Amino acid sequence: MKDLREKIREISKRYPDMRSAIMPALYLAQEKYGYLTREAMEEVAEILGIPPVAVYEVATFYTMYNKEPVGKYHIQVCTNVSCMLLGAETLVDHLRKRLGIDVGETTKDGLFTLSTVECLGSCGTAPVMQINDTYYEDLTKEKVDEIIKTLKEEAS
Amino acid sequence: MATVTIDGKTITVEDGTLILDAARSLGIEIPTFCYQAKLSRLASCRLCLVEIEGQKKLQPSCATPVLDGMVIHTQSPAVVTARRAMLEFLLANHPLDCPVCDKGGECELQDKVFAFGPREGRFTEWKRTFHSKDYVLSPVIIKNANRCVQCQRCVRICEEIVGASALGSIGRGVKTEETSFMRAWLNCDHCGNCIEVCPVGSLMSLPYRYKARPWDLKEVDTVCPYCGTGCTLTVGLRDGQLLRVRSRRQTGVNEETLCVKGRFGLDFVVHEDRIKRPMIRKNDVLVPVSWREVSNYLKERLLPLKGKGDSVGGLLSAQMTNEEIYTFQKLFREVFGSNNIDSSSRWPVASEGDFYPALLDLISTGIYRGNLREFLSADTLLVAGSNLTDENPVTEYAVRYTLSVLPLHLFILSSRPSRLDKAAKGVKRYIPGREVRILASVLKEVMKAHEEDLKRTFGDVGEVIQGEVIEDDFVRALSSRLLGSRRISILVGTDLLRSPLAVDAFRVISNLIKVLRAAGKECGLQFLFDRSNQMGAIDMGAFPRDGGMGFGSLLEASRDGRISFLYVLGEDPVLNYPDGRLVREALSQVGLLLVQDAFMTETARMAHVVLPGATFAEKDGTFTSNEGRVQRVRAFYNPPFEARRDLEIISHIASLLGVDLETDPSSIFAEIKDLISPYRGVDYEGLGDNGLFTGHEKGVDKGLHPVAIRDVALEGWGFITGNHLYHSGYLSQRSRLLGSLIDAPFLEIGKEGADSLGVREGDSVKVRRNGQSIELKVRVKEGLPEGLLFIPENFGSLSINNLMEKGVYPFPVEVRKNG
Amino acid sequence: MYRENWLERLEKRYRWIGFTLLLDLIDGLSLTLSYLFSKTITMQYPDREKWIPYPRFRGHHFLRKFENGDTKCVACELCARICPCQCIKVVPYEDEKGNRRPLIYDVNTARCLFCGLCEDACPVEAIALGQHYEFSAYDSKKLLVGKDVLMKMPGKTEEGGKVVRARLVAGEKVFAEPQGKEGYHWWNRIRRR
Repeated sequence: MKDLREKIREISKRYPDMRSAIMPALYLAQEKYGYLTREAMEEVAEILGIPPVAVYEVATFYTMYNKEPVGKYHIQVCTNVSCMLLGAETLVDHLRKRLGIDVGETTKDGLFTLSTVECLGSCGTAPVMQINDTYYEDLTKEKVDEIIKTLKEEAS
Repeated sequence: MATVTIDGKTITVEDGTLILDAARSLGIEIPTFCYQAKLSRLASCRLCLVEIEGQKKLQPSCATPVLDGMVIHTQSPAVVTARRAMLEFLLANHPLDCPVCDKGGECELQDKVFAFGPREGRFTEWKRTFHSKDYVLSPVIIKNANRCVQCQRCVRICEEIVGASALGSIGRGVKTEETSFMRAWLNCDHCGNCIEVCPVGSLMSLPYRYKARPWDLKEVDTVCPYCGTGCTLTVGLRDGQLLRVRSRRQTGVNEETLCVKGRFGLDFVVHEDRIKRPMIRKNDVLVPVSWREVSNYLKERLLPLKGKGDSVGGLLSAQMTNEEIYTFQKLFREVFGSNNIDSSSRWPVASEGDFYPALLDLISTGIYRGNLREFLSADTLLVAGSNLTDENPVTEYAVRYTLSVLPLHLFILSSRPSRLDKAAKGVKRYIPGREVRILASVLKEVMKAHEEDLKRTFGDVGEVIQGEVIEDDFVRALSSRLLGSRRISILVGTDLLRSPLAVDAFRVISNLIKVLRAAGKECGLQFLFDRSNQMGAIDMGAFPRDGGMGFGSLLEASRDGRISFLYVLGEDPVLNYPDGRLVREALSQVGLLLVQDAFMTETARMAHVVLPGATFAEKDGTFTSNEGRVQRVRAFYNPPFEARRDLEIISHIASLLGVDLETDPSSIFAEIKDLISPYRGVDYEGLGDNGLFTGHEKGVDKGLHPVAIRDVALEGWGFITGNHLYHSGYLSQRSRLLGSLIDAPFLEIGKEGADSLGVREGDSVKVRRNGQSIELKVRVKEGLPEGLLFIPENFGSLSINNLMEKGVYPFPVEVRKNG
Repeated sequence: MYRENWLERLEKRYRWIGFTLLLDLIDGLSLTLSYLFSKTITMQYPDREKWIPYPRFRGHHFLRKFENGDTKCVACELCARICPCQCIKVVPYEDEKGNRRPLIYDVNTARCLFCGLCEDACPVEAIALGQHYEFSAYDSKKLLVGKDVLMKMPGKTEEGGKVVRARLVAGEKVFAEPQGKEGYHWWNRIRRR
């Protein structure tokens, strides 16, 4: 609890206006709690000394903040133009079959959450997906299988 | 200066003027949506687009300042098409449930579409819907997000004017929704200003929900009966029933804002606690009688007292109209020959003989009778002794707005933390009893810097301040700022008036103003009275003059059995005189206690004779606001049952004694105009929407008053009282809606204090003093000074004044955690 | 300029022949005579017959209901607003289900001029003027009808325009009660030439 407060205080010193510090503060909170709970947002607001609704505004505006619980591995597949042309849609279908979940859902064991996102800024190596903070590039079905397998092993 | 041509007309305006404003001053109407005067510019609705020659794209006129030589078209085909397209976009997602929507009939979107919009929409997709049922945001606010057009006026007014920051824009793109944190119950002031500014039916008033259509309402313009800010408001009646209250654009001091009391607190007029007919105490029971019987009784009892000024006294409420107050004091001065009149039972709590002279001196020296907004456009503003947020919310809105547009430096000297603290350049918390020392220290600093000027103006002033002064950051910051300012405004709050040191505080402030003026600065003050016509009551002379007794002395005289007739008009001293024991004891000793009130108050229960009076809703007259603005109060109800207008009752009593007094407000006002100098320029018939300002009386400059600094020491815990945002006086207590916002009184305690007592928010504590004790729920308020507690006054259920004692402030108490 | 054709000119010239032979009189009397042998047109109202108006007829108002019995009216007051004789009064309220419904829906049928504008204005097709027309009263106060009455009023029938067999009921309310649906169109019995 205390370290989040300290970290946010530390970061907020870099900004002239506390509202500017909302985004990094929310990332810290998300890192800690896994997703942004009501309490997490209230805590951030309290630490920064701003109205909770200001934090809520930012959290709901950006898709990178999870307002719902996510699995241990959050798979974000880019479905923007370049990736789509190189078969992102089939990858998503493959993942859905493989994991037995639909887009936006989490597997029963709580390991994987699948979602589709807009451009991840790595069109040169499309198709791309991002699992937590790591990029996986030039994907094929086989590569995806491999990655999932590794992650499952890693988790167990 | 810039010269621009709009639609072929040429105008020269200040640099930086918006195209919209320039066009409006030419009488060219440009439709707007997200634009709201006094709020930050958003330019999101794109309805006010205009064509500027030389620029390929249309520009939003609400956010584009003029440049010299601009040629602007507001009616060109491109503009008209764009306008229509914008409205079509808005309608794409706006549900067409106008028949169900409360805004239907006064909806800005409806009006705009009728005037400019497409007759047909081409959008055939489904509309976005957030929810199928409206959701309640607070006991007074209900939300329908589907109708929202994302103009963000509610968000902006909540943050920029009200300062509550309770609303925000959630989500992104087409799914943006203006709502509360997590769409949950709002933790805000419930002021309803968001409802007022909402152009569509997205935010709606819950009490007014599904009650009427705007065209059903008969609207009457009147003045808010609560605090002294004097907001104009418009009540909407259907079939003679009060349904809603709204404010008017750019009218009065409030300029379309209102606080929760004004907007939702007027339902007290229909409370069932109204006194229905006259009553006389027979065999120790109040028995309803006819007016004829009570008249005979009063005639018999009052005739022997005619001219016996020393044994009669009157207390009236500062929520009466000027005309009533004037007639009341005339009754006492001319018929009874008495000067024993007072207009508030809540202060003064000590040194009564000096109180009114000092107050009057302060008024004649320093008061600024003029527009609050002009008053606030100063270099420095000092708020002394008031939690503005709770006491005068709309004044606070004006201060917050001024802070956002002008380089005004705000300094706050207050016992209680308020929401303005964040915006202030300097904040000083004090325990009452220390305020004189703080103010005197500032005065001393200023005097030191202006010795030369003082000598020139006042001659040798000698030692004005006797006693030790303090030096701290606040004093230093404030005094150096005062020295550097050209225009200084001071707002004097009621906390100063409650203190036993009020007289000293008045003198220090009066000296400060004189000194600053001698130094060539503009300096003025306005009061922050918490009663709608306190300023008028003082102007009308409803105070003891020429050796008369104030209410405190009257009570003491009553206790000794020297008062044979006490006339209490619309005031409830048993509930709010700050010495419960004294007031009960004294009132039981009065020979004839006559209470005239609209409601059955605690005092009325003790009375010998009770007369049913009227509320502000049932009478015509005028109020004088803190600004010195005289405004018309207009009747929109008839007195119920056998109640009568107070003016009629007062003159009826006079007629029983053989004196005829006027009952027509306009002729009484004509008399006031003749006799009372500040009212000379005010004409009853000429009081338009904005009222008229009373004039300045030339104060007789008697030089500086020496002040000896005294200290009131507080050991351990002490509590102070004051108004709450939802609750001030016995009127608000009878408002059902306000009652639903705050159910029980509470005890505010600082964070450190709470820790030392081991209590948390919501815990119950016992407050004891002189063998009396009350139980209260705790609210932790960060920023209250250590040792100080705050209890909102006027909660009838509490009888908090049993813990109070005349001449003491703050009231020392023992606090213990319950259980 | 209008010019008579040859037939008209001829008729005009020899009109005196018709006048002399009383042809117009014979013509009129023959129609009268033919009615002697036709079915009666006079409706035996209210004792034996009653005319059921067409669905488009504008008679007594009624409020339409949903299947669950709730009124369709959303109390938007547009009917009251458009009413040229201001005979409708609507006061809305929020019902238990959170819908906007009329708390009061009064129609002063004494003042109503049955123009049907309320029906046109209604956005939810709740108010309509039906085929019921027998609601005269001895006391004008009884002509002020409320929501409950309006909701119980008979709605529109598909058929109409017929005269059916009926029976006079003279109880508290006086009206002709139809007996069966079969009837005739009375103007079919009018002889025209």
